[in-house]
Amino acid sequence: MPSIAAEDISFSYGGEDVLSSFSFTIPGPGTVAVLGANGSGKSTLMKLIAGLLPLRRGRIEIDGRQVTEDNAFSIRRSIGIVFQDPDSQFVSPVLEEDTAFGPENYGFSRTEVMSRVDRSLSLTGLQDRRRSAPQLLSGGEKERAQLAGVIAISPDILIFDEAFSMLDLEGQRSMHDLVAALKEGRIVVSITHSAEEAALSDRVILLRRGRIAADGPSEDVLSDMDLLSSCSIRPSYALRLTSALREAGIDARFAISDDGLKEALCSLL
Amino acid sequence: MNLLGAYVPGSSPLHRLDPCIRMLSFSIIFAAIAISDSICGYLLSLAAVVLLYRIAAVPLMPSIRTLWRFRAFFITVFLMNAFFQPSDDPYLSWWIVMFSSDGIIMGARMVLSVILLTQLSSLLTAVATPIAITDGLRTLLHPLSILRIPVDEASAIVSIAISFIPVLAAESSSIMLSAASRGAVPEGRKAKEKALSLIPLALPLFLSAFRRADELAAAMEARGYRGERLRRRRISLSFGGREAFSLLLSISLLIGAIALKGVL
Repeated sequence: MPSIAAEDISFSYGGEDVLSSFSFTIPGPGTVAVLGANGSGKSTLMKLIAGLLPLRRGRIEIDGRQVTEDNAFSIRRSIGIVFQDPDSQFVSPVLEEDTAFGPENYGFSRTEVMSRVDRSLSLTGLQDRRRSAPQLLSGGEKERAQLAGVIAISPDILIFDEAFSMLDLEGQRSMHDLVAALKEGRIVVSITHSAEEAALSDRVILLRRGRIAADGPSEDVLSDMDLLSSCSIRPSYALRLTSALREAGIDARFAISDDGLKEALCSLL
Repeated sequence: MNLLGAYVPGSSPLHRLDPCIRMLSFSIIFAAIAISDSICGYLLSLAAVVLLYRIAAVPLMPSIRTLWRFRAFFITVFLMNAFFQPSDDPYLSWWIVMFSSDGIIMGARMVLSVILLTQLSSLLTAVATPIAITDGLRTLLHPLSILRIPVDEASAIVSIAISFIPVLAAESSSIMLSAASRGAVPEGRKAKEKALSLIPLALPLFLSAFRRADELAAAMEARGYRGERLRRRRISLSFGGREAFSLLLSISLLIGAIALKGVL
């Protein structure tokens, strides 16, 4: 069963603390959002988890194994990261070659590589574009192409680093549906500055200047307007609307997501 | 648009060649062009390059149009040779300036060689993906690894550099458009002013290149890349009739170029 544990980790760039005395545990499969404003240390945390940055203080364990510079490569085998800007991530001008890059790096046989490429492209709905240049796909397709390259290595932990922020609404919906289909038996970490996106996760770790400001069920963390404001996070539309209704004397339930808002409004009728 | 360095998907014999043989054949043709020094030699090389474009079904004109943008560079190369080539029988001689028929011939040779080599390089990147070029290079250079030369890393650097050419070309166009929209590169200025106004654009382009390189490195590492050591080739290396014909053709061209050296 996949797990992530961070214990008292700190990290600084050029003497400036980005993460300070940071601890949390994700004991098993589930969806977790790491929510924070720009510069709060979200992306640094992701890179430390994947062993892409050397940890100088503290301890990170993936599936019970401590991440060190020596074993970062083998630990990365169980972590897939989808980054923000797909244009900077493609290594080949042919989609199927790009998708095969990860499995080839891990030394799978030729048959296994091709089977993984087929599966990933089929899952992401890109089987018809396999000979296309990923750089020339549409924005939504590029994100799916990037995801195809990541799931081809069958990671137990999927990290999305602001991966949906450049997509339009339709693209975001399509990606969220894909993630929902992939989350079974996996840890899915969404790194985001959007309360709306964080609301799609079961749990939210809220960051403020490199420290954990709150960690708990998304309903609890994302319904605290003052807490979100203190972390420079704009509350979700659902929360702003239900708060405004309450201020106007209407006894509406707090909601943090579109579905919650629908329920809250229906209960008023 | 066929930018220099951009891969053109296809299924021509050149696209389907074994990566190692394709790299070897192109290297031989590069050598044939480089040693050409006669009109007949250049005509032979030109015919070979045009033929290869036809075989690959890659349009030649867009690539030539891209070269046209660099005409100032080619003119400079020609003039530098024409006016500074030492000669026993110059038309004009003053201080270090020496204008002679030898200089004119040398200038023309240099320009022709650079044009032919650029067109051939462009064709190589059009018919082979950066990963295929890496595979070919790595196999060809493998013997050097005995001398502890980091062949895997060198091949990967070449491959990534090639894959970045179209990305950076698109990025530079975007930066120029952005700058033009703020009045940085007005149309119709003199060539010198235009050249000077391009200097400030270099900084954002470099910063963008470094940022992209950083992001790509992180993404590659995240997908298990560590210096090509463990990578397993998806395309098995093979040697068949197509590969034999390719080698035969390129070696014939090299022999032809050697035979025509100094002829006319």
